[in-house]
Amino acid sequence: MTHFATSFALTAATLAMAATAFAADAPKGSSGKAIGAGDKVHCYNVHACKGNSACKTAEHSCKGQNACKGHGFVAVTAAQCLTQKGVIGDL
Amino acid sequence: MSFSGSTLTTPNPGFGLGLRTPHYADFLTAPQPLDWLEITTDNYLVAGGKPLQTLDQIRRDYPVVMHGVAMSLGAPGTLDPAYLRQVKALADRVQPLWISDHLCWIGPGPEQLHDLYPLPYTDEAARHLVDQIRRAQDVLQRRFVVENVSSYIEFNHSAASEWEFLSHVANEADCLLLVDINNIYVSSVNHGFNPLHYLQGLPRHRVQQFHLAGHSNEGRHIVDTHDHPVADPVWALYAEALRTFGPVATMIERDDHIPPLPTLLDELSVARAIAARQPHNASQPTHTTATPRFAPPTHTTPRLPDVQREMADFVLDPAAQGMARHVRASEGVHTGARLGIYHNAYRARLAEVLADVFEKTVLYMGTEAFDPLARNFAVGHPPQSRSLGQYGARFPAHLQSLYPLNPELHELAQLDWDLRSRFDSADCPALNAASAAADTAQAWLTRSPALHPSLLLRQVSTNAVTLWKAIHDNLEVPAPVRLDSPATLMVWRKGLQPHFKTLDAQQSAWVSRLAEGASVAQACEAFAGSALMPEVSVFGQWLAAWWDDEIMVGETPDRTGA
Repeated sequence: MTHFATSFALTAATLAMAATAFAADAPKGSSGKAIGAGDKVHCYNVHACKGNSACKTAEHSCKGQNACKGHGFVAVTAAQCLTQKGVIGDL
Repeated sequence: MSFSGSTLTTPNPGFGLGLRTPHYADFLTAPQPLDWLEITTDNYLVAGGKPLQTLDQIRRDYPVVMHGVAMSLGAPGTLDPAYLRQVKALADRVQPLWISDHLCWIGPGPEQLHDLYPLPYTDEAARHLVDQIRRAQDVLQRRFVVENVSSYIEFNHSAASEWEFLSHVANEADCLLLVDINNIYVSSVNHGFNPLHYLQGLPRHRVQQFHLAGHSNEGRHIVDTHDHPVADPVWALYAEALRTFGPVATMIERDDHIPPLPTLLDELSVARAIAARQPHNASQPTHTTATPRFAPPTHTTPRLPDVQREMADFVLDPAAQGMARHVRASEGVHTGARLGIYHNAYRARLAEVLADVFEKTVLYMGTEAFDPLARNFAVGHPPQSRSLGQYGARFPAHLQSLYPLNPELHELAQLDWDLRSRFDSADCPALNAASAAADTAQAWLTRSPALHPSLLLRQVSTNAVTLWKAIHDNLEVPAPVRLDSPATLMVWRKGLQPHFKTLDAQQSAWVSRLAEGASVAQACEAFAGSALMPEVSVFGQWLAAWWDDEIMVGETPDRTGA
């Protein structure tokens, strides 16, 4: 490890520790903010010893529930939208 | 191994419920009026994160029993030793009152179809199960508890009744029984037997536990859905079971349409009341069940692994012809409809798993578009793992192949997958400002790898992150757009919560270098003098952010796997 790398990193670390100490006062812009995935991911289980009520018998049509119509995924129009130029969101 | 002791069973702990995630908060915040909890073993066979931490907390306040759904005792071949070791490790952690799984098989291997499939009641199947249960008991170092499953088919070549078969296997393996009262009732309707004969045919001294659950009555047959309150005929059969076996540990399973905990506690009080009304006749003699005389196999008797292969083929494709000839014909519900339940249940179950994992993708596409797609994926890509939590890794690539002109779709799905797969990844301390300051001789500077093991990087070419965030925040979802140039997305777990963040080009180069295994010092050397080298003050800001975000590892990960 070179002297440069060590002194550079340690100087930066000293600044970082000072920055962290004052982090509570520092304004935080939305840019560069880490996004938490939300409470829904807090607890999930996928294994269960049950039959499935979504589709009970061969006679059922097994249609999806109407709870969600989607936010607008339509393959053709979405593909057209992608021809436009865009920028990533403010994340 | 052999077991000693005049009483085979563990003392009855009373009345319990299956622990389900919607009730975690209830158990963590206040004492609840029940005696014990049953956990679904397989949901805790994970590396780390929230599930195990929550379980540890709840375990401090309640006795727990472990109930598995993926041991697949009846599957061809020898029990998976790695799976058994995982169950044993969880048992060492949880110290359960007992450990159970089902007398069934979940897939022929390598496919694991994750349904509880019945077995033909033959000498061949009995011998196989006895061997497997003994193997499980050797590893787990205790008597195992096996549960009767509900079923929609019977096999032509079965040579005994279900209860004769179950009793024979339990006696030969010297194991215990989890008697699912609802399953007996469901199967008695589906197959037309007297459920009292079933109860009376079981070895009383081996009955460790009762299950109660609700079902869906479809008229001519019943599906074991665990999504309703316990039905009246099942309560009546429960009372009969108590008269037959005396007081037995009782719990209610609810796996769908899960109501608030107080509702289930009220239902449990019904069980308590029924039990309190039953005369307890402790002097009742132990049942002795005669060993069934299995009809000897003939040269036309199908072999168990062949039947299981044909069953799996049908589940994946009802056009497969082999299975129907093994199914006992019945009046009322024809063979195709009976087998069809398994075909549909398989696809519905896995589509449900995918909809759970790919939560934002479902909301983006809409259920009506997602569901058939997920069902088709299940048919084309059967799980090969006993852990359903690992199912779906290839789903984003599948979306990419189906919709090559919509890269935002598979990138959104990939983000869903990456967040979920970080959720229960291995626990590992992160570096923060305090631990960096305390680190011996700045060990963090030369540590390799420098990044937290949960961290991964993805290149994104669309605004999929914005779409994810808008769906998450329930805002209007913008149109998908392609980025001017690909961006780097970082996904990791901070504490117990998965996080993500996009990086600019300069930080992306640095984090990528670290992700390749470079230490911070090595990265400094590599970038020195280049346009990618930041000012020292800027690098200080980066370090502060990295520590705050907990993306750096706080100690060298143990690579021995211990």
